[in-house]
Order: sequence, then C-alpha cells, then structure tokens
Amino acid sequence: MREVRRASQVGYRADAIGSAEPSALAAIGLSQMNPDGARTLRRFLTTLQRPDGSVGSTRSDQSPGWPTAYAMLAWASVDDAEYGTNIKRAARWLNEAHGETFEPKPNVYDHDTRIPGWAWVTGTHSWVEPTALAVAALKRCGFADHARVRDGVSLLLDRQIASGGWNYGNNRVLGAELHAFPATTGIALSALHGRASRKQVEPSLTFLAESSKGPTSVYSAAWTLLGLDAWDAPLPDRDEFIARALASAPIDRTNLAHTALMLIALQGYELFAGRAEDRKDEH
Amino acid sequence: MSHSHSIPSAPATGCEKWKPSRRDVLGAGGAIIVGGGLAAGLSIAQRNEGGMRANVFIGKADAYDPRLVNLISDGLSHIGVTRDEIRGKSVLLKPNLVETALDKPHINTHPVMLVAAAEAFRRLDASRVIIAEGQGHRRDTELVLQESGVSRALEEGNLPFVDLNHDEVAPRTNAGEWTKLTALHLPRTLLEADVIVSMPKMKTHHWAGMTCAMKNLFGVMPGVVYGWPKNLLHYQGIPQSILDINATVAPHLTIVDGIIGMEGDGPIMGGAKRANCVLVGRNFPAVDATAARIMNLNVGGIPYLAAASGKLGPVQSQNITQVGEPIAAVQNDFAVLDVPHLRGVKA
Repeated sequence: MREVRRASQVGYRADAIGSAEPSALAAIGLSQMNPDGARTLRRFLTTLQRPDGSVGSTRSDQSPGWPTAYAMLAWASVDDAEYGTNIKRAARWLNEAHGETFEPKPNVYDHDTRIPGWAWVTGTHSWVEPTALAVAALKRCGFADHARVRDGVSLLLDRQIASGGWNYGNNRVLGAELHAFPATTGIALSALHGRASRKQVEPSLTFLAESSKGPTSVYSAAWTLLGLDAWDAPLPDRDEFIARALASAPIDRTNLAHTALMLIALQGYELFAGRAEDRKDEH
Repeated sequence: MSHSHSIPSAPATGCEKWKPSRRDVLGAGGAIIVGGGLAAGLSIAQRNEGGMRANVFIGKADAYDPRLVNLISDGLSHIGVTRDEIRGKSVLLKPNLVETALDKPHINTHPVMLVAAAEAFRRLDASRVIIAEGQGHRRDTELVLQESGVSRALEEGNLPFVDLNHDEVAPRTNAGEWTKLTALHLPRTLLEADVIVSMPKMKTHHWAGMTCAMKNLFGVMPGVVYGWPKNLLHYQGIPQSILDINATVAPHLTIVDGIIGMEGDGPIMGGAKRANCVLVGRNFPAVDATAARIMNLNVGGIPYLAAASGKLGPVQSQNITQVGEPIAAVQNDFAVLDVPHLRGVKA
C-alpha cells in the first residue's frame, strides 16, 4: 500500500511501468484518504487517453481499450469538473464500442450471442468483466439512461449461470454448465445493483456467500465484498474473510491493482459505484 | 522463419478442404471452428515431412511423487539435453492452469510435476528456475495458484512465480503467419528466459481436438492484451493461433503431465483419465502427435497437428523416434465428446 500511496503512476507490480487499471483503482481507493495522490493518478490517466477517447493500458503499446471504463470511474470518483472532457470523450468511445454478435447456436452454447455488450478487444465477442465495468462506468458518469446500459444489463443477466454466479462469460457450453468464479460474480453483481431485482440474482448472491468460505485472494475477496455490499448482503464473518484474503499471497506476488481494489472494497460500494441518485437505480 | 500459410488440401477422398472462415463461428468462448469442423481426412503433408525428425521420450509413472525428478531427468537425458546446455541458464516452466476447480485437479498440471521439473533443471545447474503462467479463464492468479496446489509447491520448492497476464509486454513479428496477426505481444518475462519449457496436461479439447504442449502456449499470451478468455486468438482461428504462437515463441522443451489427464469434454469439464506417462521432447508437434497416439486419437484429424506437419515438426510415426517406453505400453482410449466437429478426432 505504501507503493500505491506515493506513486504518480501505478503498475501491476512495484517494479513495473504505470498502467491504466492499477492507476485508476488506486485513484479511486485514495480519493478520500490521499486526495493529492489521487489527483496525480487521475492526471496520469489523461496521458493514456488516445485521440479516439479510449484509454489503453500503457502509453507505449497499442493495447485494447478495455481500461477506458476504469479510467472513467477514476475521473468520476471526485466532483471535479477538470475531467469533464476526458469523461465525455471516453464515454463516446465506450458507447460506440461493442462486442461482435452472431446468430445463436443452441446446440453449442446457451447464451444469446446477439446482445452486443462489450468485448476485451475490438472485433471480438462480449464478456462479463468488460461489460460490467462499462455499465458501472456509464451509470457513474451520467449516462445511466443510455440504451447501452440496458443492453449491458441484459447481457449480464443472460450470462448468469443457472445455479448461481458468473464466470468470464459462458454459462453453458456443449451441454455442460460451467463453473462460476467469485471475482466475476462480484463484478457482475456490482454492476447490476439497481438494475435487476434481488430475485433475479439471488442464486448468485448465495454462490458468492458460499464461495467465501473456501480459499480466497485479495482480488476475489475485494469483488466479493463489493458485490455483496451492493446488494446489502454482508458476510457474517466479514473480518475473518478479509484477514484470510490479506494473508493469502506473499509480498513478491502482490498485484497492486488488487491491492487498490481491496482498498476500495474496504471503504464501501458507493466509493466504487457513486451515489445512488447518480446511478438512477430502477430497483 | 516463414512458412507457407496455405493449409494442405485434403486428398481426393471427398473430405473437406480446411479453410478458415468467419462464417463458421460457433461462438462458444468466441471460438471459431474452421471450415466445417475438425473433419476426418484432413491431410498430413508429404510422408517425408520435409526431412524433419524428432525424438520423444515416454516414461511410465503412476503417481505424483518425488521419483518424478529422476524420470524427468532421464527423459531430458534421453533426448540429449546436457548439463552444458542448461548450466547458467534461466529456465521458465509454463504449466497449464487455465481454470481451477477444487474437485477437478485433473484440469491442471500437477504441482508435483513442477517441483520435480524444477529440481531436474537445478541438477543441470540452471541459474534460475521460475514458474510462469497467463491462465486464460480466471483473472485471479492468486486464487488459481491456491486452488491448484501450486502455491504450496512454490513455497516448498522455493520457486518464484510470474503472472504473465499482467506482465509488461513487447511485440514480436509473427513468425508463423497462419493468422492475420502481424505481431504477437509477448510478456517480457518470457522473452528474457533462456529456456522455455511447456508443461501441459494431456487432455482432449472440445474445440482443438486435444491440448498438449502446443496449445498450452496460449497461456503465455498476456490477458491485458488478449483478454479473458483470449478471444482475439479464437477469432483468428484456434489452430492457426496455436501454430503462430509456437512459431513465434520458439519454445525449447516440453514435459507433459500424462499421469492423470482428461478425456471427454476437455479442457475443463471432462473426466479424469489415466495414461500413467510423462513425455519429454524438444519438438512440440512430435510430442503432441505422440500424446495423440497414446490417447488413441487420429493425428490427421487434429487440424493444428496436420498443419504443423513438415512445417514446425514431424507428426507421422515413421518420423518420430519414441525413446523410453513404446506407445503401446501406455496407450489408453481417451473418450472424445460426441459432437459433429470432433468426429474426425477419434482414431
């Protein structure tokens, strides 16, 4: 956490170059604890924004634009008009970006492949994490009424695994129901708050609570906390769960994006998602 | 290295010509299945395979225990790996940790294999041995390490681990040219390693037919560039991507965990299947072809192997020298999912 607090840019590892996702998460996590540090990180993110409005992982590569949603969340994490233009440009790119769609093949997979959602890489299919982050970012940044948000919500609900939870974005393939993962379940639940009924996500809330009893990590624990907090379903043994997560990895394997994410989770769902009135929750 | 990226056409038996087509998208996982599927009868290049030859070591093992160090050392020795070749070099061991489930340890390369391989290379005076992986489905590396048992192995074996998914990346010209990608973005840790060792699990695969040494290298492609799953590679064609990655990365060795592999709906949802073997080799098509024969699969019905023939290595049995045990000593009939696009995979 010391590395995160004093950095002008944050990479995935302490010795790595600055990258959008960890810097954005650190900016959000520090927004109230270290406003000056957070401001520096938000400015760093503006240097990663490209002419088309997307934000790549780093300056030096032509990486895909999936970190754009993270950057938007970071810029919106304080009431600061300084980033209004950055947010507008990023939102324009995000609204135009979409996953590739095609006609369903019901004998092969169960999900509706005609919903655009958002992809990791332009020109490929849509998946849970980029879609959920896009939904969260658009809601947070004043685009809660946009049709793409409704599109993203539809996709997330469609990709939910029947017995509960989400993985990367396939629920059933060639007749087999796939495994759910805690992190992607937490990500989806965080994005769906206010846009789905509790009944629609109850199996996933149950999955997440149950999975917290098994092995965990900083990353999965952080998303578990955010996902459950979003739905006001706190863990009864939350402190023990957090302690296990923080003890889970040796220092040489620390991923600073995960550290920053846990910092956000410990401060609560609204730090990530913004105020309820801005999100224009429907449920 | 450049290759003709035309796929050899099928012999005049009425079998389909393999030609990549986006209209053949099946979609699950964003996978694209080429030209009508993994149909039987896809040709293998000329019988001589351009003069390519390879040795593949097959060792018998029925347990994940410390004796594997000696078996792996034997295997390396049998294929001509010497102390002079490894002394002072950094060695990167790349397991298959694509996805983990506590009740399905047969999805992943067993951690005892990793510790044993590390020790085998240390005995050859490697300067450094690291484990590195960029697993394709689960972004949470630490949880994957825990659930697979690898984190305990790392501690017990005093082995560092690098998450290739979040590593710094650098572009390399695509040396294969089977896909339309002009460059592959590879992790710096991989590029800096002296010896790259693919350590796959021997499994059937519901898109590629099988996954072994070659397909295991999907896991070196960083998720920050390619996503979770690495869907860009699926859109380029799974067989084509396998070939390009192997041509570009140019790995050095493979040590295959075939003690308990997977049959049926691989690479995740299938059942455990014993083959009680460990394979060691330098040439990945040859090793994968050997694994296919052990699993009683049709080498010619697996598109990436058919296309690799005579380009990246030999796959025909007369051009591969099996050292150690014969195939017959460990051959076991691996079930293949009964779906149209896999009908050509079963021998």
